[in-house]
Amino acid sequence: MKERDLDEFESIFQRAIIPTIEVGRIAIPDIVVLADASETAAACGRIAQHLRDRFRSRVCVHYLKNPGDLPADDHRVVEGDPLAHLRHITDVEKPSLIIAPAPLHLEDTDDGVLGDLVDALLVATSIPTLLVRGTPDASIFQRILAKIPGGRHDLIEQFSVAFALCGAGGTIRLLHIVNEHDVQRLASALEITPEIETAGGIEDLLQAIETRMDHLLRGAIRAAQDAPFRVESDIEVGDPFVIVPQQARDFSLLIVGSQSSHEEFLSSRAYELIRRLPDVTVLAL
Amino acid sequence: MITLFFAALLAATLLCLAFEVLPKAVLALVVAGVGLFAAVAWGVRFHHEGGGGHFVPAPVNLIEWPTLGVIIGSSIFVEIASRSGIFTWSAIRLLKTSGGDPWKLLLLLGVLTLVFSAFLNNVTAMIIVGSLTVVACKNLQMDARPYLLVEAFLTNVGGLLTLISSLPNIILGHAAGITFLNFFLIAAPYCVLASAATFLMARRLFGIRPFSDDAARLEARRRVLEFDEWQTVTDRGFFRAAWYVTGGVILLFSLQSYLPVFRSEELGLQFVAFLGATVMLVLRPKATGEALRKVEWSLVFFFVGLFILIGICGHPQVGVLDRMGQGVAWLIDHTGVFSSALLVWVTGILSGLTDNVPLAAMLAQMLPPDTAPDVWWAAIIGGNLGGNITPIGSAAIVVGVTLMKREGIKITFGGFMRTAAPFAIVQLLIGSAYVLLLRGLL
Repeated sequence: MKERDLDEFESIFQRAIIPTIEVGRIAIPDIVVLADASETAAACGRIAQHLRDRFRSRVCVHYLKNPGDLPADDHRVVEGDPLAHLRHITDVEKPSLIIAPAPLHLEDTDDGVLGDLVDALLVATSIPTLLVRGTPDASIFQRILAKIPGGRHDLIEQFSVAFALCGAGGTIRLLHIVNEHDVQRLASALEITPEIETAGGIEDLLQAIETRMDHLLRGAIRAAQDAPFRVESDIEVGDPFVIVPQQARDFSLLIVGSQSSHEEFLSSRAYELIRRLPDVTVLAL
Repeated sequence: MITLFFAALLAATLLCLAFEVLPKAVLALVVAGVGLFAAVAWGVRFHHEGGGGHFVPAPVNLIEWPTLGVIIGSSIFVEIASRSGIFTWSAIRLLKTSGGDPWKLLLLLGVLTLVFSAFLNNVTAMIIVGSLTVVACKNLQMDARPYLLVEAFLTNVGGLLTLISSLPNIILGHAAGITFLNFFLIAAPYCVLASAATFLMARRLFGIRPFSDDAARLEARRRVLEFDEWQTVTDRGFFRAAWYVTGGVILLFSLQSYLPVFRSEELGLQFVAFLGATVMLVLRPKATGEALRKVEWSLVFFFVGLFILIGICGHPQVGVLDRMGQGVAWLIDHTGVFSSALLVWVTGILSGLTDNVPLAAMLAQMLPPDTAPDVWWAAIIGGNLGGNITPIGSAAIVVGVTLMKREGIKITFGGFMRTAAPFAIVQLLIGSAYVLLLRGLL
């Protein structure tokens, strides 16, 4: 019996299945820019203007300390407790995008990588937040790295955003990282530990996850075949804290999913990833 | 004494093949060696003259080299052609044409099985179509069992379609002197009738019906459209070239007996098979090693051993096949117009119980060349269809059953026979009626 031939042909036909990934329409009707007096805040203003032109958004700049002159449809100067103001923005105003420089400090003595205000923002909001590092311009949307945590829903959400933001001639890379430790934990949680101890068990599980993700990513590439930019995919096995920084060097914008429950915006892992990439502009969804 | 010894050796070989005591190739080589030694010890004289008057050892002249040539040449050709993606591409195209509708899916996968079985070997056809069926049924959330069963039954029907579709066809067709085109023209109507009956029975017995509601139809359509046939093609240039070469080889097989030079006995069908293989190797030279490894050498050596044993049994000094031939002739004479219909059932049941290849090889030796065409066709039809009776009746059925087991579908020996018996009986009944019709026409 040609078991190997059966495996080979089943695998060929499995690979031929390309799920239909429908790119969602992204609207950004209102943008809030949090600004201090830094050069990075000025870059936030430029990026906001670019998005305003592309998405016909309404841009409102909130100056955290002294008023500035960033181009916008509306300006506000934060008075009183900045954290309360931040909560008002996220809980009441609920803009479709927040753009903030990072780091953004409440206290001058704060020396955190992201700044205490960004920390507070990431904890408080479930609103997509663009954390700008350095002094980039609109060209950050030409090279986008999207870290896809896994699953069709996450892929569609992040791919749709990347699809909407990427400029003509640009590149989107969809990166999925299979974390062996996560798979082992999953296997333990499902109480299949005895099985994974047998030869091939954990490898089979890893293979199944890779295959499924490969289908989804190829579906995304097919959905973008007529787009004016290039979409590529990459599946890696290893540690996200090693792989993402390595790949992010070649890109100007990193999109990360929250990978978290509804109670908090970012999982500790996603937060840690952002913290460890001090030079990369990140869009946290 | 010598006749009795070799009759016993032949019977023991058939029994061992039926019970799979040893791998087929090993068994055939063992009995060939024993038989050859015993024959020489008994003083049997073999023909030793080769081309140009050279001395040729006895086994060489006993082997049907043209048959081996077709098997080896076709294997290499199919192996490289399958790397181009032409088979997987066409399989997915046909799947998408069905729109995921259960009835259309059954019909189209069935037709695909027939066509692939006609031009590839039955096992390869079942592996390709069966694998697609499993993947498609998973995606469509359907039960793969009825589809795999029908495909398994149809591989043996499709195996009747051309002279190179199955090993009994090659052996018996060569012995009867039937050309590729004549074989196809006579076999095709039977295949159409038997397939139609198989489809209708499957519809009734397995309750396969077209979708009645639009929502289910749309969802199934969406799911089959997720298949992208081009994902199975890695090199479009080679893909196109493979189509041209395959078309050319089929055309050459069909017209070989009419074309000057090609029709010469010096070349034969094996030349066309090797020509196709060589062109494919020229197109994909890097695949040479792998393609040669993929040739079923165990099957080739099984044939080598089998031809030697059958050759010895057919030798006038040994006389086993002469006696059996006399028995068959007696049966044919005494059953009158129904002799060929009876032969369909006898060869069908025997090939269901044991391997159909030695049976075909024996019949090829037993039946004289002037045997009536309907008798040859009875042997060909019965020899192919007997495999549908049991789950181990043919290699293609074994593939189908293995696929079911891999999918967790439980099927017992008896359960398979209960399901398969109505199909096999109807196919053999149609075969009997068809050879009776041929008796009047040919």
